[in-house]
Amino acid sequence: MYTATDKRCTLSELISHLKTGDCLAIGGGLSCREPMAALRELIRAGISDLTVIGSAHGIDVDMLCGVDVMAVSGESYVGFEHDFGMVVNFRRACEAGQVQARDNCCYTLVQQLRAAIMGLPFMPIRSVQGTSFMALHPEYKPMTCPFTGDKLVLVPALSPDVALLHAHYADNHGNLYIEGAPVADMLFAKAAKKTLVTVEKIISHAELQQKGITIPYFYVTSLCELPFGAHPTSCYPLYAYDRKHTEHYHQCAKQGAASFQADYLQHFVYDCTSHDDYLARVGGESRLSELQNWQHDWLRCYE
Amino acid sequence: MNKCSIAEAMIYQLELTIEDGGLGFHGYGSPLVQIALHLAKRTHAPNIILVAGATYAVNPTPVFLTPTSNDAAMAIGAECTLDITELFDLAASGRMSRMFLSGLQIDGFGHLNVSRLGVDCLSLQLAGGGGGCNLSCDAQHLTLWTAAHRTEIDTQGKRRYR
Repeated sequence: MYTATDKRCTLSELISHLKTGDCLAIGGGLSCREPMAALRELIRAGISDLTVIGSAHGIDVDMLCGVDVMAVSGESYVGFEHDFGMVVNFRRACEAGQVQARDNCCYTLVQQLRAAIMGLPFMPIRSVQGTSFMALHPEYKPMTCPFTGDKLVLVPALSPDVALLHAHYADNHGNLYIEGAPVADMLFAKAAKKTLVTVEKIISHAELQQKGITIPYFYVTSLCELPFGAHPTSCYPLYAYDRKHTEHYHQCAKQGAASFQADYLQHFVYDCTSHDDYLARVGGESRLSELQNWQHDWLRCYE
Repeated sequence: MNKCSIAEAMIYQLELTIEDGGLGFHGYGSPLVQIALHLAKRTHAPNIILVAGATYAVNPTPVFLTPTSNDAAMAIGAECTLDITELFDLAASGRMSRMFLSGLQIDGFGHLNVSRLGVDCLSLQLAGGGGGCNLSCDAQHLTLWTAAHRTEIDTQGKRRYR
C-alpha cells in the first residue's frame, strides 16, 4: 500500500523503480493508451531481461523486442491486426531465441491476476483444456472439481513486479481517472507489487472526484505528468492514434534489426533529450494538434 | 447480374450464421466478423447483444471501421461498456452465445494454430490467439473462418497470410 501524499516524480525517477529481470505488466492495449514515453525511458535506462505480460498489444511490446530488453513474452497477442499485420521485431526476436514466447490467453491472465488480488494461490478455469497451452505452461495443473466432478485447470496467481500504466488524469496523491476501455489496467494495478503511472495531466482532487476515480491512490507507487505520454498510441478523447508515425515505425522495422536501430530507435528514443524533444521530432505542434482535433475529420487519422 | 467481392460474400455467409438474441462477440483483427455482426444486428438479429472486441462496447453504432480495434470510433453510440473481466466471465458462465475464430492453420477437426510454426525449431512466430484459447471452450456456438485461402499470390509465388 502506497500512502505518500505526493507521488509526483520525474520520468527517470519513475523508471528507476523498475529493475532488470522484473516481471512487467504494460497497460493499455493494441493502439490505445500504452505507456510509450515510459517504455522509451526504460530502453534508455538500459533495463533488460524483462518478462512482459499483458493481453493484446502492439507497438509497445514490439519496440521492446527491437532492443535487448525482454527475455520472455507472456502476452496473448502482439500484432498490428488488419492495420499493418504481423509485428516484425517481436517475430524476429522470438525466432532468434532472444525472446521466449510463452503465449497467454486473456481469461487465463485475468484469473491469474484475480488470484493475486485476492491473495489466493490459484484460480480455476474450464478452458485451455485440449489445447497445446497445457504443454507450453507446465505450471497449469488439471483438477477434478470435488463438488461437480468437472475437469478444471488451475492457473497460479500472477503478481507482476511492476505495472506500468498511462492514465488521463491523476491527483498528487495518485488517484487515477481512465476514460474509455480500461483493458486490464485495474487488474494490473491491484495485482502488481508496484504501480508506476504516467498521466496526461495532474489536477486537483476536487476536479478528479468530479470525473470519478478509476484506481485508488494506495495502489499507485509513483506518477509522472507527461502530456502525449501514450503517443503514438491513442488517449481518447484527448488525442487519436498516430497511424502515420506507426506506419513509419513499421517500415523501419521491416528493413531489419540494424536499420530499425539506426532509423527509428536512434532518432526517436536514444537521441531524444526529453519527452518534449520526442514530441518535436514526431511533428511538433502541428502534428499534435491534428491528433487532438480528431473530431473534425476522424477518417483522416487513418489515411 | 449482381456482383460482390469475396469479402462481402464472406460477411454475408458469416451473418447468416448469427441468430437473434443472446450475446455475440467479435475479437480484434476480425473486420469481416465485425461487419457481419453489425449487419446481423441491423437486419435479422436486432436483439443480439453485440459486444465489440477490445473496447468491450455494447451495441455500438460506429459509422466507419478503423484498422485497429481498440479505437474510440468503434465504441460510438454504445449503450454501455463492459471490461475484460466481465466479458470473459459471461463467456465462462455460458452466456456468450456466438463467437468467431480464425488461425494461420486450421485442420479438418477444427484445430487452430495461432502460436507458431515449427515444433522443435521455431520457424515462424505468430501473433498469438488473444482470448481464443478460452472462448473456443466457453462460447456456446463457435464459427471458424479464414480469408487466407483467398489471398493473392505474391511475386515469389507464395500465399500471403493475414
